[in-house]
Amino acid sequence: MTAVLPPGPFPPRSLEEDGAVDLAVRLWTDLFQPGWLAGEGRVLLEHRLASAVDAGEWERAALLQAAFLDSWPLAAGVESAGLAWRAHADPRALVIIARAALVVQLARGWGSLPGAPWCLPDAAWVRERLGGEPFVVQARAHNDGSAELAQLLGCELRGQPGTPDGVLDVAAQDLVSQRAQLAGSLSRGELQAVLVRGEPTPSAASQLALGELRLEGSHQRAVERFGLSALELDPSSAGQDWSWEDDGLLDAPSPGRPGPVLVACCEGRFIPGPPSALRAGRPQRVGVLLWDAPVRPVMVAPVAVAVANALDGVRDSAAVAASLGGPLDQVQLILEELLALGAVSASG
Amino acid sequence: MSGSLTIVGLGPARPEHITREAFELLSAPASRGRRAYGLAHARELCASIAPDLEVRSLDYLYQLPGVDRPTAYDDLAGMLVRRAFDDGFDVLYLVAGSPLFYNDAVLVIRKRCADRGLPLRLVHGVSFVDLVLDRVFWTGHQGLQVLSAWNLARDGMGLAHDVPALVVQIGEFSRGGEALDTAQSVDMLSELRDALLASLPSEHPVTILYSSGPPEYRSLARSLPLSQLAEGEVPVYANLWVPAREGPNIERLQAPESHR
Repeated sequence: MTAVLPPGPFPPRSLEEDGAVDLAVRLWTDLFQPGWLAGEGRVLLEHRLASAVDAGEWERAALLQAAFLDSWPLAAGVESAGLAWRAHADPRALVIIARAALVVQLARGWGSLPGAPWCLPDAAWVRERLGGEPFVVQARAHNDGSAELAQLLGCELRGQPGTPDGVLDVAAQDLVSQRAQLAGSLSRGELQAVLVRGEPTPSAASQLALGELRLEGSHQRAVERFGLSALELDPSSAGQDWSWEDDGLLDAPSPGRPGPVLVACCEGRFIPGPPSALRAGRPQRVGVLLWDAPVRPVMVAPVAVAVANALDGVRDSAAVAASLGGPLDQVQLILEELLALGAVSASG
Repeated sequence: MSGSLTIVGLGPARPEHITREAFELLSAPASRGRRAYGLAHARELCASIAPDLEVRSLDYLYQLPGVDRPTAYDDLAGMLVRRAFDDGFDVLYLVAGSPLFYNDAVLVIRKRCADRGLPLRLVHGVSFVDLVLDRVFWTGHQGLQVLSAWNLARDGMGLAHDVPALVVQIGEFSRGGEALDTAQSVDMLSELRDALLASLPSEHPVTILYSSGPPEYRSLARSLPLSQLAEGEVPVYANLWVPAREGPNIERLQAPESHR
């Protein structure tokens, strides 16, 4: 009987063992890859985005569009993030991989693991990997998604690992009464984090208790964001609140090299936007520049995309302006902006 | 279990305002038992003089929906006292300015320690009052009143008009009195002006005292008749000098900026 190892903990730190199907490893090798993110994943997101726009589901459309645009930097950056995570548990890598996980979930229509942002695949995807062999789900860590997976597949679950050392599982309703003891243990380093089971009440006492746990626990905030994988973070980096939006997370494109004949260094697309208008259900046509590099997408006026897309590495700016039927001085102004953005550069 | 609780006043602005006592405490070699806490301003200031000291952020206490300031202060006091005297840490609570001027959290901590007979060390700091008074000529001959804008505009308190007054926190209040919001300062100034006009003439001179902000924190001043007090926004950390109605003439004058 084949042992199916659950999708958590994620990202995986080791290779698949013989005789087992390790879903964390399979997720990584099948989906957290440049080829999938830039290929099938991007196509799935584009289709779902179009459906959401057609159905007038604007909030969802905005989420899908952000995921669609992020598939460019993620496809370019996910491999090195994986390497950085495996090599030295880099907190920035974890943020990038968590963003990739959300993009995968949105593309595939999946949910996430309990208490963590990682993917919980659907039954069809898992069965495809099993090839008709009889199987049993083998739990390997607390909150690893094994219970959810066994329920999804309607099969036996073996093992029920407890919380790891340094972590205590506490019911939300006990948070206030146990606050002093928990915070003391966290501050003394006896605990790294507390897993709060259930939803804390919105009462002031409950919020203040949770605030103190976050203040004192070396890994509390990180575990709340990333699940138990965050325990691998060094205590000094576990407290750093990196987010996907942070400037330092991705590279900034270098300005282009000026020249008489320019060529685009990125892909220009027209999308419904900007994000705030899309969320409000009043999208307009906007342009976006997308790099096949770990660089954040840049929203621009549609005319800038038209100019970037008209560059063929042969024609000079006058010929490009003529082909677009626009005034040369305006086209030159746009090209200067595109050069500064690193969206175009001298040909050759 | 042994432990200690020290409240450290960091002075109002620049690192050179920090007392030698505070400096030596903050730059002492790190020890496992030492644990420091503070808000953004304190952390920023501390980073410039003791970069190795980790200061845990208390900012969240001001961002919890439905948790008012008194509740947050009480919680903070309880937390720091527990950490020091139950968990045995040497706790440093870093505050801006002087711990004794307009700091409700410090007041709650002091009272709690006094009630339980717990030792509390106070490291005094230069108060904001020292900075703002350098743009007026306060004689001290008729005393000094210090009240908040909220006291005068909304608590129904009045000034004794034969004594000069320093009205603090004139730029801090939103409508709810919770957030720091300069845009709402005109509303507070209107209420303050009307309260003062009940007993002072409209042409009575007043002086808005404020700071140029980082990095220089120069003491700035703008004098105007009381009637014009609410004609524009004031910075968050602005104060108002109100000379006595019949006090010495020198107290009505604006002093030049001190040289550095």
